[in-house]
Amino acid sequence: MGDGWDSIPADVFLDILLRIPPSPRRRLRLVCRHWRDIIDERAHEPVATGPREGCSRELDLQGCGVDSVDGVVDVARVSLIGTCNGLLCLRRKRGDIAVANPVIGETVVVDPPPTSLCRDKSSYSFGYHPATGQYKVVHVPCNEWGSDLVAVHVFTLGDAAWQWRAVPAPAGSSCLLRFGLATVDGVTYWATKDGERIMSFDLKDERFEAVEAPPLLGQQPPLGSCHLFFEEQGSCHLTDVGRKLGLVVVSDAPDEFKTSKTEVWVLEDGTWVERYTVLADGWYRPPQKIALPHFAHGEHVLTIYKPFTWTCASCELTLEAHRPRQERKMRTCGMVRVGAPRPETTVGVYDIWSDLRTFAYVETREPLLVYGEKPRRINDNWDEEFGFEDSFLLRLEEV
Amino acid sequence: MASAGSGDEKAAAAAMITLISSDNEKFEVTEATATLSQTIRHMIEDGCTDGGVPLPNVTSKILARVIEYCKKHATAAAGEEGSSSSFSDAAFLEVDRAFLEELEEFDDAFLEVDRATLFDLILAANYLDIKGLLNLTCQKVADSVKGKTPEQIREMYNIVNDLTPEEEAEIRRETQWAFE
Repeated sequence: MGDGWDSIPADVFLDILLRIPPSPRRRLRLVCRHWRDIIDERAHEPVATGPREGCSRELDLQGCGVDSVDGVVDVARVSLIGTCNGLLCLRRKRGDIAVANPVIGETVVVDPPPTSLCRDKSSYSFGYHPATGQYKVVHVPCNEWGSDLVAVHVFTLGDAAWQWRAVPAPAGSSCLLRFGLATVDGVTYWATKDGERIMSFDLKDERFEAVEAPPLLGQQPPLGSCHLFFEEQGSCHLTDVGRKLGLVVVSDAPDEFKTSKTEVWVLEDGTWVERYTVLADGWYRPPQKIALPHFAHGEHVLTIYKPFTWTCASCELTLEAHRPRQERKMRTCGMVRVGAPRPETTVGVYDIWSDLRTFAYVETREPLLVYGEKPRRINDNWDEEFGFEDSFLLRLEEV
Repeated sequence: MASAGSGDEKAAAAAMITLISSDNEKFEVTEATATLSQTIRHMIEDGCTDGGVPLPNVTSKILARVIEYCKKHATAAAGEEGSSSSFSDAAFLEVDRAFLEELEEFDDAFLEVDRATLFDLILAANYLDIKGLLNLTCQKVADSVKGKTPEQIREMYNIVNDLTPEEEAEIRRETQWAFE
């Protein structure tokens, strides 16, 4: 130790560490033993710790200025675009984008990109590039069913210009928002409009690239062709699986009471590897569905059980966590078989009607106002704003 | 406006506090400035500030800087209270904005110090319990670490790496999966 660190009280040291985003903070454990021990003991993330302890916490968005004069975030009227390093990126009903740190109650508001193209929540992604330390909101102006892509819009938090920039896409680019946008380790991914290839956009140098196509896309029937998805017998989703790009391929059972199968492929060093298979039994009840977009939580796979409205009185959704098993030796693919929700796998119970979406979250004290938000007031138009577009419960579940 | 202000100033002038640094230098400050420190605020409330407040953990060099910070921010706090009455429209926001920008510039310039001074300021802010100053200085240190490799940090702060190669390998393995 030297140069003053040894004189800094542990609480202050912790305060400093918590201002650094969680993922680079983990790397700081390599500095020396003292740093490693403080980060391990005092500033670790709530990662999966074994079978359930049934611990859940509600994230208090009130502290983010929900009820403040400028009405920055209102839980009922916002939808969550994504989370990154403990920061939430929200799309408000009026269309602007808010990035919030609920722990310290700071929020930065960004006007939507000046375009007439689609500005749904599904057309945005939020990410952090570890090399630049910058947070960027990416807008991919396309529709759900696939359209050509001329440019993506990028907003860099902390950029002095404080405005969206259009980054022209190579000729022939397209996007299918149905597969979702995923930002993993500083790169945003989406599927091309034919649903057969994947494109990437690097948040550091803002370059587009074609990604190795996963084996399931582009293949002959069973899953590759888009018409299958239009018939709602299955779906594909891009998401983050342990800081790698994952493709979740859901093939729903031909009728609702049979087994549905979900395969998860992960791009590892340029090669697609099948990582998980989830078989959900649907005899007598609707099969559980994989939780999205965040389903790979530590060693667990998260699924959601949503009862039919006519089979139950209370209709409570449950979030379940399962530990995959390796059923065949020499294969890295983990198997999860699920049937009815069980008390030993249930980690959350929700009395809501809408779909449940899950996100990774880790507490951080990283300030946001350093990104240059100027004081501003927004006139709330309650009539126009009222209405639950995508109300969500923000709860923290410790699996 | 001037006459109303002078009355306040007289009242404030009456309540002066003497702070005494570790090297026995005395600093006269207004109560408004001194009470940015929770530690001193409590002393004033307890009525134990007669004859000066000894601060054995803070040198005169650092105390002078801390007082400079408190003076600026005490004015800021007073300004905010004063302007809230005229809370109405864009004009208010304009004033507010200019004012915050000025304060931001002050803070940036204030932090232009060498590393040893920065750590001394952190210790003083912690001891005197001055939230704003602690926040400012801790953020400065966090920013200096952010985006640096462990090697660069060790070099910057003269930290000796006492991890064994096995421990390092272990951390690297864990870090790979840190974000699951």
